Amino acid sequence: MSKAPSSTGEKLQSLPKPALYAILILLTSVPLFAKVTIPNKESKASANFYTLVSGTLDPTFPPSPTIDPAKPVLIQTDWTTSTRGESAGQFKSLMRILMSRHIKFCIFSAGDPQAPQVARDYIDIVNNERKSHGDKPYERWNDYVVAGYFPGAEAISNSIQNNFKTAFQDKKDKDPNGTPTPIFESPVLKGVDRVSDFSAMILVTGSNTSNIAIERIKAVKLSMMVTGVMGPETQVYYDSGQLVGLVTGLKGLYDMESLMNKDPQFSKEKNLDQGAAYYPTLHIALALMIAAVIIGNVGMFMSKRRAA
Amino acid sequence: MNNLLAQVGADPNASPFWAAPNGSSQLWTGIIAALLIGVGMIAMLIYAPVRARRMIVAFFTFLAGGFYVLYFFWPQSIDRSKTDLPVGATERVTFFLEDAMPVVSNFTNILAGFLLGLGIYSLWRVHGRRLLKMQKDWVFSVVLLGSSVLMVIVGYMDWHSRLGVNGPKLDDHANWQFINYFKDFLFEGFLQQMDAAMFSVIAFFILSAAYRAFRIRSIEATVLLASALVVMLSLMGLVTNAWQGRIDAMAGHDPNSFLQNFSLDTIRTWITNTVQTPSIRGIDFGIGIGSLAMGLRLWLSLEKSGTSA
Repeated sequence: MSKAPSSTGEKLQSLPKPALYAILILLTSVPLFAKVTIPNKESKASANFYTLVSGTLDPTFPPSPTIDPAKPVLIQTDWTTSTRGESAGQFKSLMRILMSRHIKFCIFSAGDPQAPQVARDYIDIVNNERKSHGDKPYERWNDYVVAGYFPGAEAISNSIQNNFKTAFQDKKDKDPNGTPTPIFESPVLKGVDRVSDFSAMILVTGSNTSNIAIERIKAVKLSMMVTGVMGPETQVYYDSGQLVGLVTGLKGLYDMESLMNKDPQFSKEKNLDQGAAYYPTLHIALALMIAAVIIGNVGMFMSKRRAA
Repeated sequence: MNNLLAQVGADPNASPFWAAPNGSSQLWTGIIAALLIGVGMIAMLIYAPVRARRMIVAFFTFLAGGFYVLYFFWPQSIDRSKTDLPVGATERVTFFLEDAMPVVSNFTNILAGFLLGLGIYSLWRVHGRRLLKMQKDWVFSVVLLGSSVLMVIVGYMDWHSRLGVNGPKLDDHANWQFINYFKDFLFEGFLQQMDAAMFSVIAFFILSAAYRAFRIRSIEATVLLASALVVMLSLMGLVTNAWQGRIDAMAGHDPNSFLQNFSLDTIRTWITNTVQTPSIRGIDFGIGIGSLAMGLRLWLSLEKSGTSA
């Protein structure tokens, strides 16, 4: 049986796990019951992404490219519920912007077989929001198509770059009659022959498919929404100019929501959503972690001094 | 060979070999023929002498790997249009490889399907035996087998209900039937929630590990702790705003001031771009070289482990 800590230093170094867990649960639950607003300064990477998809130029940042609303957007969605804390909010904000601007899009996944279904579920959520404020819901086939899952992210990224039409040739989605029909017959992909016919390609991912895509796809404006874990690896590509914009983790999501909230063209949308709700929780969790590290180190120094 | 593998040949209106219309007799004939050939080949493989079996496996491994090796190393077209025609032998090979890629990818899908079937068979065998013999923890086997059967049946019924003209109507939840709600309950209500719950447990481990392991015991640990602290603080809008406000005040709101180098975002970007990412790249290079060596051994059947059975 281990000896019970006697000095303050030892006590500070051996806080029981259940106590730490209880504090974490208690503190991170606070934003569920009390509305906490965090002041925010949007990053340049998030602002560039926002400008790309919304077409709104932010005067606080240098001008950056925007997409042509007449052309469709290609979306690679590789996230599932394991990263939905960040990715679901990012995906929803992207959907709100594209649907609000009536931009057509084609969705596929190269990361996870569950991802297309998860994406469809969240499209339904945003569609229900649209219905609730009297807007026409986005229609599958006419406004967007889902090309499903492609195994082998490397191979499909290569094929998209070199020969988009062949890569997606045998993919089907349901037409308004419920018949599986080649997606190239849909109004979404009308006139699309190669990847450069899309106005942009956007990846929403929680895995390294971001790296795989950026190493291969160059013929179209590329932009990404990644989790905090993938952020540092992806940031270098934004800094080098290979990505037009980058939304990273919860901070990036909160940036997007803040920018939408300031933009009159999205006044009807539910702008402050998951990012605004989860950002305070992230703050609290990080603050608790920093406090725990400080307490542990203070305890260690007190013990050392006592021993000396 | 080109017509056999490619989805689109020289004549774009010709029906590709691998894409028969849904529900057609051509499709059913193809499925039955493929099944018979597949079963026949597996039986042949089972009854073939060990030496011959090894050679067959090595041959197909080399063939399959060879396609991808050629695909990645052969010069590739750039942003090719459907109407482009190949010029010269090199481009003809390029176009063939690119046109064949979707079909070969589908072969990979089918093989993955076989592997999934093999995995399910193995799982059922292990848990079925445990259940029949009422071995230790047989209750968990009942849960596993029961939930997998339920998910398959409900998933299939939901998929079936979405076929035909009424399918698109089910995109609107107002038109859902019991089976659609039940599938949603199992997939969204159970599977995905448990998936997210498992992932969220990491927060507890990270907090506990940070508290116990992040100690300033050496110079290296101090550097690591300081970097982590900066990165964590830079993710907190409250802190970065206050810090940036102080820097701006000291710099007289001059964006080109030297003091702007000390903003949390700048320090964090420097750490991630200059220290963290090159380290990750270094590890990636090591993994890449290892994977290449292992891939070569597998492709050339030099790797004996796992192929002797």
